[in-house]
Amino acid sequence: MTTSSGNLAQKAVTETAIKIDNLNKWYGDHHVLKDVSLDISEGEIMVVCGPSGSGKSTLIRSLNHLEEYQEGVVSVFGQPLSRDRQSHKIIHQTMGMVFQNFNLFPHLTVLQNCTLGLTWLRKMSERDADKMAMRLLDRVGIAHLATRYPGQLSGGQQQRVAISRSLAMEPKIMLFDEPTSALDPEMVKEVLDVMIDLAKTGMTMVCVTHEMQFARQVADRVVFMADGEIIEVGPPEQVLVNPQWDRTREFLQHIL
Amino acid sequence: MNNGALNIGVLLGLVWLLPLMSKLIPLRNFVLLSWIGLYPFVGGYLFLGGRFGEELGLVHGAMTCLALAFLVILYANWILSALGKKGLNELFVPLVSRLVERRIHLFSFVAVWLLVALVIALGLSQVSLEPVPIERWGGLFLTFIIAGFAITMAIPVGVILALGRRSKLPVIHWLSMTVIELVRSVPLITVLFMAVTLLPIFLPADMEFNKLTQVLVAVCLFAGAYMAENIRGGLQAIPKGQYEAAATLGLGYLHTMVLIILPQALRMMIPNIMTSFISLLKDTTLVSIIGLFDIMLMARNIANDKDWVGMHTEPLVMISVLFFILCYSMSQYSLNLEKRLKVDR
Ligand SMILES: Nc1ncnc2c1ncn2[C@@H]1O[C@H](COP(=O)(O)OP(=O)(O)OP(=O)(O)O)[C@@H](O)[C@H]1O
Ligand SMILES: [Mg+2]
Repeated sequence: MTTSSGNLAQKAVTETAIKIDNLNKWYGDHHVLKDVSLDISEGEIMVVCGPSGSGKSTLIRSLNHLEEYQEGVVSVFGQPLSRDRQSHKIIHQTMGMVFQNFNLFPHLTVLQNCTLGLTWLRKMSERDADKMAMRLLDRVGIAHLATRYPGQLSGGQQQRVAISRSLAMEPKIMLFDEPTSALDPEMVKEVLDVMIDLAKTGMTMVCVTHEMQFARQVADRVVFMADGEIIEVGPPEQVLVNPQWDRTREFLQHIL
Repeated sequence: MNNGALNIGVLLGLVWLLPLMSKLIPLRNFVLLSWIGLYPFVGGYLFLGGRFGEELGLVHGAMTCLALAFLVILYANWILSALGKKGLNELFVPLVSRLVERRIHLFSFVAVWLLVALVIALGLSQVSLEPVPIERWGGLFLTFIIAGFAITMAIPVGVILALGRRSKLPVIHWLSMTVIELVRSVPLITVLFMAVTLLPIFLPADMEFNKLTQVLVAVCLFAGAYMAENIRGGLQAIPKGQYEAAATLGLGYLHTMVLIILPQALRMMIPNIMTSFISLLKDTTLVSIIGLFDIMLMARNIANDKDWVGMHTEPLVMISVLFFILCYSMSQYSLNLEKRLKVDR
């Protein structure tokens, strides 16, 4: 195992994949994102951590417009996003997302879950879509379960299906919102292994997670959030081992 | 009554549904949709009889041809795919691909469809069936026609009304809500009377519907309004995560609804939907009150026949047994369906 095998080390020139500029969001009077600004380079693995309620989910869901925000601009590969069709198209072509509770489609088989987008949106033939989905399922080690329904799988297997389903649409950026939090401890590793493999392929990843081992191993940078603000950003050695701020230190003591 | 045509009509309805059982047919959901959308034209023609193209009117005639052509293509494709050959609708692909760039398969299908329909139209124009006026339709057949129509139309109408009620556009929302609440808050018998007496007043004088059509519209609306509330209950039970997962894949409103949300909502509501169907079947006996000769009115008339004066009990017992068998098998079927679909989860 290598320590901190970040993709950035091998990349000479990097383009900005996501640029977050002064994002502000309120739920009524409750200010949940306060002037959040962050640049994420292409191929970078960014881990977001912080205490519950600090706005991690809200931030990551703002990136692909699952949440609205009142102020600020998010740009993807240099294109500022708004609420129009064009922006939606950019989001769907570049970003995939994996949720805490999988959100697989229970009435479709594992294979159908993965081919749905390919056949209906990409207009791929059924045979080509099946082939592509089987390749992805094989990559995450569950090709033999392709004909099962999600309800017949373990949590770890379901999350791996969810990752394959997202990857089938060939995104450039993958967003993960606590992908292992709903899993029993013995299943966490199988999902993390898939994510580590994915990181090695040069995928741009934004992961909200409390798995510090994962952060140390693959993250290029770690973002620490509290009360809707980014408190600290930096390489994992700096933020996790040698935090500059009391809040970060306190939080890390709690979860380690 | 013209029995030959009648039997063919019923048989065709069943034959149309047969391909649903086969795994060889692609897009089987569309077969069911086509049955709902197209079969009534064929059935209507065969039940009504008459010279093709004259009594029938242009639209009905054209739709009948299209429907029959669809059935022919469906079966041709089934046989061809069983033999391992390409489907009939692929016939024009090489030709069409020269004219258009996208949706080649769709255009090829439409071309083949129109061609077959034309051939059928030429054939049918030679046919003349003995005409049967609608006033002479009666008995169990009529009960089945009304109940069958109500049951098949309930889900499409219900889905449209339910989605309309959840719509963010105020006009659509209020329109759907008004229809649902209005229809649900009056008894079926009133809806039937209104359809027969009030509807002709609102329509232009030269537009004349027969009684059966008016009743069908009324029953369809009634069934749809109740179904809409069933479906809305199912829609509310779908977790938000399903919409979010669909959105992140890039699915739009229509795709999300048709592929993800409605299949789950409908499955969840199978027991309620079946209950509605059963009460619909029983409610159709009310049409005897506005003078359609369904099975109830038939039974009452038996007692007035000079050969069987005073025979009130026997026909009614007979009808009860008949309805019991029908309703009981429907509820057994729903239990069976539920059990089968549970395996999926
Ligand atoms: N729909 C909502 N309405 C009102 N407030 C909300 C809503 N969703 C989230 N919040 C608030 O916004 C804040 C940030 O929530 P968010 O879900 O982003 O936190 P989080 O960092 O992801 O927490 P966790 O680690 O528990 O998932 C919280 O204080 C929460 O109470
Ligand atoms: Mg969260």
